[in-house]
Amino acid sequence: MALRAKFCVIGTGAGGGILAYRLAKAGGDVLVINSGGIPAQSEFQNELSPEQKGHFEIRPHTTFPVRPEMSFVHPLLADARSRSSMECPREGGFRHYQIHHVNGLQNLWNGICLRYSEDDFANRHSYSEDCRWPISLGDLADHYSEVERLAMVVGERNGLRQFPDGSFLTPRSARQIDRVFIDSNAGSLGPDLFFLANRKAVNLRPESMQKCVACGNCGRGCRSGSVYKFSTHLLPEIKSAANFRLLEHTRAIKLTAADCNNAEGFSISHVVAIDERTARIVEIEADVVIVCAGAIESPRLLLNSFADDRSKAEQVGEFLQDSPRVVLGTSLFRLWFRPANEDRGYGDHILLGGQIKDSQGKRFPFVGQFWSDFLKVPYYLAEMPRLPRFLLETISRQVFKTTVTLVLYSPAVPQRKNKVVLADEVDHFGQRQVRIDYETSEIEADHGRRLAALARRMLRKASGYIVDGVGSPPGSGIHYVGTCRMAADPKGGVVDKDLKYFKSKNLYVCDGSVIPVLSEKHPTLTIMALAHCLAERLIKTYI
Amino acid sequence: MGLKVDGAISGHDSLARRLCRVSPYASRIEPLIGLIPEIMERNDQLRALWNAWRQNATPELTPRQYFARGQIKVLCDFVEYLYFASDAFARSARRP
Repeated sequence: MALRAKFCVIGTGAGGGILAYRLAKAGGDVLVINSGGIPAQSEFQNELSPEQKGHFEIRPHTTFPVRPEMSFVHPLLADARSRSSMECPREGGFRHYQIHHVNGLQNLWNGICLRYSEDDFANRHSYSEDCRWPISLGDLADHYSEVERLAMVVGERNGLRQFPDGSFLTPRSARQIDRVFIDSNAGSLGPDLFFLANRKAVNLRPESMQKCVACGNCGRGCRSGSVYKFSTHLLPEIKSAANFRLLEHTRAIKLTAADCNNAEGFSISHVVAIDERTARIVEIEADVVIVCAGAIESPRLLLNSFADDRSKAEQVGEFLQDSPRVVLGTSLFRLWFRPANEDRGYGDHILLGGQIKDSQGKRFPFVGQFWSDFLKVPYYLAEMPRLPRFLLETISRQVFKTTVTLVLYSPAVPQRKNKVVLADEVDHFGQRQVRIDYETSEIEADHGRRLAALARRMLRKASGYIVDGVGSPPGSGIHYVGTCRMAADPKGGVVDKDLKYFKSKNLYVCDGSVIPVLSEKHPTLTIMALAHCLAERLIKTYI
Repeated sequence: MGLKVDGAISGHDSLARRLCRVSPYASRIEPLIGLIPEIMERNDQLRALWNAWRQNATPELTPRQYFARGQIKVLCDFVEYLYFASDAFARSARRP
């Protein structure tokens, strides 16, 4: 099948979704390829279906006793081996969390929306001279505001240098469990620790009681964990437009280069894609091709496309970064036997941030999320020693009401040796998978130890005396960036400050891979702002 | 299907109820008994236990007589999980 479009957007994650929306709204002829499908309406209903409710998250692969980590693994992740971008990771190696089947990687997003600060764009916390932002906060400020409005971000204007203010809706108030944590720790690190209402993109407002079961966090749906997604929020506005086409369950497998001897760079004449259900090949001719498949899949597509001429993909895949983080869980004893607040909900209503010193005395920033947790009682019970039944039930009830998880993130350290390279193995469709070489740096490990000690201290102050550390193997931060990093010149990266591929005339990359330096903050809002910025530029040039 | 029908209750329910008695939490998951055959059929670890029990259970045989100690442990963990994951437990935990 052959198709023709002005713009071909590959992927509908944070970057592709915004691009497709803006270009289509502006009247552009847009064709979008998405390896997943649109979630069914039944997945966004007010109550869980009898099937979802009846199985209590017991999946085919669930083993008994259940393990705490099972609460995190989405069933689609456990079924993605042959469909995965990457070969089977070695024990302890980088684990790529991906969902191809349902609306792309964005399903794993928890909705945290933090603007990068002036310090981030000025590379003040960068640990590598090879990775530098070529743009400033001022270049993106208006675009941050636009995407904050589109995604409906809640928050308060706090005037913090580390977390620049934006365009916010009123956040939900802190709950009893949040207050205990804040009051116990306020002032404990002096002015270097502060708490703020979570800045979260919601497709759910108090007046709209829609529950979501597809954000990828819990698989059950909740009031506070529901987040904006392209498929539920923006797609309905454009999907019936005559100038917009969406190819679901279709994966781009090759970009065909033409005009290779042109001094301005080669052109992409066609995008070759495959229908994942029928294995039918689709050839798309487009004036502009924008790859938005994520920091693992985008380099994979580029490396596969230019496998015969590696000069076209120089530096692609290098400097892969993921957020180093520590995750600690506990039960706050101070709240035991207190009346439960029915409306407390689950999820993360507050953030914390600040700076602490590493072992060399150098300060580094961190950001944290404080969760009133999902129902994990069965998982915690699996870890408990055998107790008399009456005691077990009493303890379980108190654990249920008072379980919290604290996640702290620190900046990534860019390393050239952390990279995505083509593997010999092929996937379900015969395309070469990638191998991910990844080592946690000593600086990141040092930060992790410092943050773990800080998190433990904070939880203990809030009466969490039995603190449970959850391992965070490489890849579990799910903030993948850097593999097609933007730079001021071709020597320093893969795309320019306008996200145009240095070596091509009509190829753009717009996803996490273009972010050159991963700060401690969640990168999604920045990806969305970059996409909005690129969309405006393309509209001016082509429409 | 070779099921042993127990009065008005379906054969599967009766088998599931007897199987769950390995755990002291059996009475707490009584409203969920009807779901157990389907849940066990869907799960890789539990499917073999359910099929074996379904095909070989007799009125005189108890799960503790039929299954090995390790299998009984799995069944106990499963029933315990169901109770603590159930709405009944969540409601009781939320109660002031």
